[in-house]
Amino acid sequence: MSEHHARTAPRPIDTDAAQVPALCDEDDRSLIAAVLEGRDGALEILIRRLQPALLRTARAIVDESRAEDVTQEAWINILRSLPEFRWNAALKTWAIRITLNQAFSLRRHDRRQQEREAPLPDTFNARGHWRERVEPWHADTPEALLASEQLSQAIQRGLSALPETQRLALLLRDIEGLEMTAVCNILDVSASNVRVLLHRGRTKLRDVIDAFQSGC
Amino acid sequence: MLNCRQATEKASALLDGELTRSERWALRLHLMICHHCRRYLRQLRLTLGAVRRLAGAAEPIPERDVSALAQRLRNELKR
Repeated sequence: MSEHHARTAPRPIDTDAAQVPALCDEDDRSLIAAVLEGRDGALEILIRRLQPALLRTARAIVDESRAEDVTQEAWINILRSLPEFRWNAALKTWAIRITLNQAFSLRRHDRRQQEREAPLPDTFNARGHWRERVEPWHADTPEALLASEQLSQAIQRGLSALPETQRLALLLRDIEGLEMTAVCNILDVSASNVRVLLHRGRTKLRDVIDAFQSGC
Repeated sequence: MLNCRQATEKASALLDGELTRSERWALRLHLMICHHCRRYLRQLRLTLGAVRRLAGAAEPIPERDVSALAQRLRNELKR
């Protein structure tokens, strides 16, 4: 950890005192102020608020077994950098970026290779029209789709099988709900590239469901 | 006039609110005459809804994990 980070570490927080329920509804700025002041329970609230997104982010890059290590290192960086945070981005966006950096850093040590992308199947003819009918699905709500455990697992596998940048774009935009500009900044690609990544990733997941529905 | 390939590309951008007014009109015009693309757009919305629910439902962090992580972080920051 850098000296700079070490100098700016927030003072330790008392672990023994009870949590402060009122903090649960406070916004990110109030919560961060509370964490920096060392208020009881504030760190736990911050962890509850961010850890699910940070774990999902880490799992998009590294194996499940490494994801918790990645988030722990990311949290240390987040807490040490917190006094310097100037709200140029949303707290969640900033924390996700730190987690991604940590995950990429760990993976560089692993020297894992990036996967190659399989091309989208050509579902359109030379004039750009559908080759085959788009068949209706039996389910008409997300809940109805997910009622099938098999389909839920197929979607999970489909998400895991996406090329990394598509998976990250979907994670950041569709699951974490970040603004397009934040997604562009985190992935360091243009808006038009993010649109292409999202289109391709979403199409593949839609095709996973479509194949499943066709087989019903 | 958009063809179906172009319409499906625009459909994804529509969900992000990333289309200009003229692009939205062009897509709307295509959707009026193409039930395949209407169905595709509906299915794309369902897909995103399912992905969101799947990810969101996966993991409330157990309270003991929250406490354990907080404790580890406090110890680390005291060093």
